[in-house]
Amino acid sequence: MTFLRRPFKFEGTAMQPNILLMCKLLTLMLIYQGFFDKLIDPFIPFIPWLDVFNTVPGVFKVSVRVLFISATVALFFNYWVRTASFVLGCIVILSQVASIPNYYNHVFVCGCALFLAGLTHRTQPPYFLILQLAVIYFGASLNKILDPDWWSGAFMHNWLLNARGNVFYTVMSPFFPDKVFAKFLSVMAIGTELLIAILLLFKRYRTFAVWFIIVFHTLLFTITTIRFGHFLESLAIILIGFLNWPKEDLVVSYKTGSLVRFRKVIKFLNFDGQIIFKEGLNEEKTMIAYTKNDTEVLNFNAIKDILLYSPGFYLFLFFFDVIIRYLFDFNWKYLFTINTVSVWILILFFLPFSTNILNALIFKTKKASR
Amino acid sequence: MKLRFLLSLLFIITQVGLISYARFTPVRFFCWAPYDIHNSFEATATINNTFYDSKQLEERYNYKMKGWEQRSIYNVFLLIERYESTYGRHDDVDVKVVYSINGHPEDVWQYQHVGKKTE
Repeated sequence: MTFLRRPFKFEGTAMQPNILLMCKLLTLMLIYQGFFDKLIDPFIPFIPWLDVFNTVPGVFKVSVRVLFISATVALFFNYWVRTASFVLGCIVILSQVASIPNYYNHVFVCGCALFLAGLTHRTQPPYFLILQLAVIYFGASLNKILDPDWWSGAFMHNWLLNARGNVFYTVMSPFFPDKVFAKFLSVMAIGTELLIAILLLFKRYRTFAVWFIIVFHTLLFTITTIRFGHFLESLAIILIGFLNWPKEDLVVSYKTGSLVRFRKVIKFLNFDGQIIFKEGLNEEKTMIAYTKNDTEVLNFNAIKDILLYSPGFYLFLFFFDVIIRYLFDFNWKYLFTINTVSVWILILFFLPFSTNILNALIFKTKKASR
Repeated sequence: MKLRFLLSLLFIITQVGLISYARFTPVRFFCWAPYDIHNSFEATATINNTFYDSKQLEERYNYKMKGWEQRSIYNVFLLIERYESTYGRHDDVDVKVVYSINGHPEDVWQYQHVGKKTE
């Protein structure tokens, strides 16, 4: 029984719990997206000598598939997690190098994250994972900056109007003279990507960068309705690795009889039992609280942190997305609406400024009704 | 510890190198430039005196040969060139790609070669 629970355990390995969670979710997502079937013999490889493997068809395919399964099992059951992640990263990158038609940035980004996660240290922040994201945004912004079609609005106009027939752009652009709206969107995209790349490099501004990433990509999704392959979800999963995960158990005090359902849900979602609830909070305006770096974190701030530090919360979001896609596969408009609404609700809930509003709305309202 | 640090550093430096290299070539691979160009294109070919439409070419190259390409069109050209100079080297090939980059006027790219016939 304990063995079967290992895929849901994230503590006590050579990796930081959130990095391990990130690796497991990335692997799960790659499998869900059919990556396993794309592990094939080299076909028009970037490195020509990889064609050597085609002298005995199937050898390369079977070898990488066996290696992929072995590394996935090891990772999920918490055996040699760093090696497993490193091997998975190498397989993903190799699959990209082995076939020009199979090259996709949204797959490559998963390979990079798994590769670097396998090289992280439990006691240190994942500096290279942070650098990886900075490099991605730097590369993306540089390419746009040096392309005249981005400054003239030609790319944006052609993409949104001709290629996508985008409703938002079709409605908005006639209000502006010759491609001005396209130019505005282009400059916003370039500026945001460059800003993210710079902000990520400074510890002080990293949280801003993460918020910029989340809001920027959600806006893009809302406007364009596309996920850019599975780049959007890959990025969201990689950001789990950026969390400052608690190094010790989180002892949470709550007011007697309060938040019963929430506590039950968290006990279920917190597979490692790292969040410990203690009864006996006596302060009048506080329902729930815990101490972080000698500072008391109260009410909705505490609730947000508790959710963020519960691995099951991310697994729930992952499977929610998978189930919704399966259920509404027949109608992309329903699917898009549910996706957009749920993501924006999550963003609004976790945005720092929403805490005061939520505290006032929920906790004070409850107090007044008593 | 040191090896892990060096490997990570080398990995990042390689990517920075590839981003820099992309400044000297129109091809965009491994340099984080997705959805930066949008091309409409269609490829057709005559291979060993037989006409191939885009659907048949898709099976040959294992990649779409008609529609929208959201990366550099030169990625598609590289793919065709690489295929025809290796797996397809024994075929007489005349591939034509009609394309338009970011809505600009259409252009044509052509790749021809006479196959090296085996006895």
